[in-house]
Amino acid sequence: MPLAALTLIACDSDGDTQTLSDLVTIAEEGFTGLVINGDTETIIETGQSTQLSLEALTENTINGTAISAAMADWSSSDEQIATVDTDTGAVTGGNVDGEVTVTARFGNLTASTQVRVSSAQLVSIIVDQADSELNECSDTRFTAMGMFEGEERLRNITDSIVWTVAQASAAFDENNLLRVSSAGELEVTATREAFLDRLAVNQTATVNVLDNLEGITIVADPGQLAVRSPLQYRAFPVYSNMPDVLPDITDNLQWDIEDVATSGDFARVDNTLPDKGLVTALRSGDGLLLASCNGTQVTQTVNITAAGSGEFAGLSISAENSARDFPLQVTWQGEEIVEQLVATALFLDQEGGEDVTFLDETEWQIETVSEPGIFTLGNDDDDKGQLTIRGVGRVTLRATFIDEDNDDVVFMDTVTVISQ
Amino acid sequence: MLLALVPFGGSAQNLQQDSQYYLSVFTDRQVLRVSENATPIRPIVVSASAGYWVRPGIGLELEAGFGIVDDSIGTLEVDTSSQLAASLRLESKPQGNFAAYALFSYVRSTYDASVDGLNSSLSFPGARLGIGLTYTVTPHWRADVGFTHHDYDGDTRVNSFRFGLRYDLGI
Repeated sequence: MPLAALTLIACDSDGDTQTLSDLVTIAEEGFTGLVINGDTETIIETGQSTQLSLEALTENTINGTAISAAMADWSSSDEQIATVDTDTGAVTGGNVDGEVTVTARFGNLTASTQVRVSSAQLVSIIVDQADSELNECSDTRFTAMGMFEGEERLRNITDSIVWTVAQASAAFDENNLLRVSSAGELEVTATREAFLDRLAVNQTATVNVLDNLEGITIVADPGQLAVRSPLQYRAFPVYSNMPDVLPDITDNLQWDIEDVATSGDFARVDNTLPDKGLVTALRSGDGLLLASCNGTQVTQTVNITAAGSGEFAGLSISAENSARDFPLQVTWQGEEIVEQLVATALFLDQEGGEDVTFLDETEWQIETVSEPGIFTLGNDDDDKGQLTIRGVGRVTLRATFIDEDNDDVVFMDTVTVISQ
Repeated sequence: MLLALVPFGGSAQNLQQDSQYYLSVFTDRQVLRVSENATPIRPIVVSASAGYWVRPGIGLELEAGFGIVDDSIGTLEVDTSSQLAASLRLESKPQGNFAAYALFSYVRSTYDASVDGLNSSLSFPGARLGIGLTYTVTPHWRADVGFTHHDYDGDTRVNSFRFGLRYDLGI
């Protein structure tokens, strides 16, 4: 039987496996249809881009469920007027004014929307806000409507606006959400930046932030704070003028932990989005969780306790992505070698067994070195434990974990690396 | 077990030495998943194959099959319209009535997916690895049980449980 006879015709299966995957998703979720951009017409300027949104409909719901636009394949009926990224659904106006049909296909479902491209000049911007007054320590989103030359209808141009606020007591986050802290007036500016031959256009609006925050209530998500088992805490305001309104303001507060004196550095709380209010315990103990807004004017404190013994059992150094033993031997071939070393702490868990946590607060030092200048050891946040080797020699490294409360060395480990 | 898969050399006792060709029929109960957590699709495929022993314990075979039982998820119905494969078979020397084998295949499976009256024909070419045991029923006939694993593009994969019969010609 000739082997050539065994040849099968290959074909492009990548699209087919994706199609089946899409069909399974549609069947599992019960999707019956798609809607692009809320079924409203999209108008963009020549050369401008905007991201089209996609919603999936189900049989028993009126409103669609937002799904990632990247799940669909996109196409434009006339690429001279507008092009659309086939993978992401980002549509860009071409050099010709007109209207195109943009189609999204997801499995067996399709949806279309009209996109109009216009070269009309933006004359002015109207900043629209849902509420004329904002609550203290709240957040809000603004809408920008554009008035274009020769057009009577305003266009929503929010997606193409750069938002800024003049006062330091408020700031826009990366999702264009304005987060405010203290009371007072804010000057919010919407700018449509210059592009191609178009000049920048901006408009400033004044917003009043009320002085109405009387207190903060901290609530923990279900679960128990334990060593290496983080727990999310959330904050809700008490407003003097609206006692029944309880928006989640976790992301607008400053979070901190004060350790009870005997506990030491037992826990930390995240203060960066999207994990604000997430408490991680390093060891068992008691502490105070603080959430504040507007400086120290309003602060709420709760007692927190982390379960588990959390006792350190030891510290050891290993090479990342490598099972090699120490002394670690590397071969110098004239090119710089980088070895990432990792410090691992062993904690006693609640049952007295050992468990592992990687320590990012370890101090790294070179203890002894045979040839000065050949080995460099990183100790900053972005290169902790990173050993760079530029020649032949031998180095002994030390990782130390120090109790910040009393500066006592809790544990340390030393290893040797040989470059030959 | 792995050692048992090493093809055996020529021997007067070997059935394959005298029978150059073999025919098989078998059914595959497939478990097709498009991702780790997706609902599995479980069609049943019946296939026939013709093989040739290029030397004892090493066979080349061609396989063709089609679905006899389809499966559905909600409104999605999936049927295996065809499954074609070319395989290299490595089979151990029988230990008593049993022999172990491994199959290395290149497979092209075509599925008909139907949703609300709209049909799509989807073809997945890819590699397949199979392992199993044969049991000598008579000098000509062997029963075959095995497991195959296919990995396609993306996260799509098919695991299959196989039962079949093989007939060795020319003894």
